[in-house]
Amino acid sequence: MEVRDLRTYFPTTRGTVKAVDGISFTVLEGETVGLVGESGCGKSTAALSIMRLVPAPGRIVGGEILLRGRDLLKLSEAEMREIRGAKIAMSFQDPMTFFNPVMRIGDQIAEGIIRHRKLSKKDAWEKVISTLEVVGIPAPREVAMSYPHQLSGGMRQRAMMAMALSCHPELMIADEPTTALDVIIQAQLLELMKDLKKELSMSFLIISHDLGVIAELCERVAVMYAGKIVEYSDIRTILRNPAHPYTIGLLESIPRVGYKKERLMGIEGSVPDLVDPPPGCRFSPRCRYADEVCRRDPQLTELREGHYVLCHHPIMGG
Amino acid sequence: MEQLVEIRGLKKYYPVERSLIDRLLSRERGYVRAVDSIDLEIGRGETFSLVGESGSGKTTTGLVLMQLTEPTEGRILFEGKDIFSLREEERRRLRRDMQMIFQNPYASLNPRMTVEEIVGEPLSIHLGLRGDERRRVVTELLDTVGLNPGKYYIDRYPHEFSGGQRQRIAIARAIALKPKFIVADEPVSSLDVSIQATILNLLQELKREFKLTYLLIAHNLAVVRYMSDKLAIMYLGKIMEKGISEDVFQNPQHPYTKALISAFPDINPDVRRDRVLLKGEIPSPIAPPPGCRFHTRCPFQRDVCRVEEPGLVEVEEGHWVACHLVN
Repeated sequence: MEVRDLRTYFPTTRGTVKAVDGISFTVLEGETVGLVGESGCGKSTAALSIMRLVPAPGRIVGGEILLRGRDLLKLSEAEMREIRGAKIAMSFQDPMTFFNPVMRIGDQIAEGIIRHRKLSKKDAWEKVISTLEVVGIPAPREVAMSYPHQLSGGMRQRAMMAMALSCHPELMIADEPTTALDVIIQAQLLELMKDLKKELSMSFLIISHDLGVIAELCERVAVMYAGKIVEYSDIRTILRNPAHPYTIGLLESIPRVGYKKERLMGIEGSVPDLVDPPPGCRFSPRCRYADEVCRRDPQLTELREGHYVLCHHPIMGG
Repeated sequence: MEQLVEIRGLKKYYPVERSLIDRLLSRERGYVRAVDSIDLEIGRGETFSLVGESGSGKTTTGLVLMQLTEPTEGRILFEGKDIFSLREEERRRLRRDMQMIFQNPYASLNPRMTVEEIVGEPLSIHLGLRGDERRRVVTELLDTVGLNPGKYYIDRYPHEFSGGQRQRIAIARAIALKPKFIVADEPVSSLDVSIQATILNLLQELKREFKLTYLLIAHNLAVVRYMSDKLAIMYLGKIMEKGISEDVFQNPQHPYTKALISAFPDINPDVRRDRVLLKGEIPSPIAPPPGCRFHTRCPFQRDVCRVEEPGLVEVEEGHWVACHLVN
């Protein structure tokens, strides 16, 4: 999949919120890519744009989303319905609001299978059971017969992943797959996702605010800030040689469980108002390296092969 | 070190509502054993962390400490005095010394009050400050917590602030009466990481400046390691392991502690982790497993673990573990 110059805006009474403002990235066959950023950076809006599920009054105003060369933004709603679930599937942060509370889990998962794979109800249910097994649910038949509220948070998250995987999509988008869960359950799900990556030859797009989760799962990562991708590279480069001051600040803000640090840096200030973003580089008001040049729009530049930075003063060898 | 807070045999049970059928059959009432007999000592000037998953009883412990709920059993000593046997006016005095910071600064600040009223309220109630004098103290407090200049922020309402700024307001209120002890319940878990770091740094600075003692309640082990001097790991209302923070992180003894530490995703791409993976989920605190409460999920369980509850044993100085395998 290739995303080119995607723009998604939300009109409000105060003006237009440019939630996603010209982002481009690719997800290769069998690859796992991460979109990381803090709240309000536009990462979830980007995911919803790919699914063409941006809530009104939000609108995709420009760009291309190419799935094997076919632009999803040019498809009719009927054509898009054949893509959703079958080619691209998505899981969400909060499964409780995702599932229909008055329908059995099994029926909800079967719905998609019946629609996309044209199976009978009985065969679809068999498929449901086997998919629930794949995501490590110990008693799949019982879970399929349950209603969402009867399951724990970890189980609901697994059931939602089963629903996303049930039609063998080529790309799965997982929005904050482990955020609402306790660490022990989070670790179980991370291990599950690593197993799925190995077993199923499909691509993943992981949306998360947690660089630790991204570091464990992804090969490449795009760091978002205020609607733009500010740095984009393979995961090792991002963690070892980050070049954008925001990425560096983010890494220096994270306390590590592995060793004790004397002082965390943090980033002073807060995310800018996207109705009226600062001119030029959007991070400049919080950036310790900002100067006059930063009042002009920075261009995405390739520092090394495959390492892109949106900054006038990238930190080399950082 | 002098102990500021001592918790002795603390229990907090919440009764479970019985259904009509249960009552007709006069079935016994069930209890959620949120906290089940724990002992802790917090030294003056320390940061002590309570760590555990949801349902481990860490927040309940904090609420009892703050006298926001009565314990079922056990005693809490603050500077040697049992806080639940004090007379009303002594208790009132004590509230000045003990303050709390809550997890969600969107819920803990009254949206209809200005910053001056929010931070100034305890000053009026306990010290009788009014008018210009109160305004001056509140302005200073705002400067102290990094909302400077304070006079620029003092007349605003909570909705005008970001999450990190709101947590600063909550902290200003908590330190307004120069307390000795602050319970911070997940003070940064609802904030973005870049903001988390600035709030953690602020808490460290205030601790030095005002010689505070903290009880930090948190599930994020990296935050705990960054902040704490000592810690206790809780599971289903019991303490599994406690000791000096660095001892526990460098030499964890309890399988649950090891699982928690290894579960935490780290940003170092070169760490090859061997996870101690736990199966299943935390059991119900209404009917906790017999024997060791952790045995149903423990990869190393033996027969004795199913029958006998392990007590806390000192494995090195000040490092206590409740596990049959360690003893």
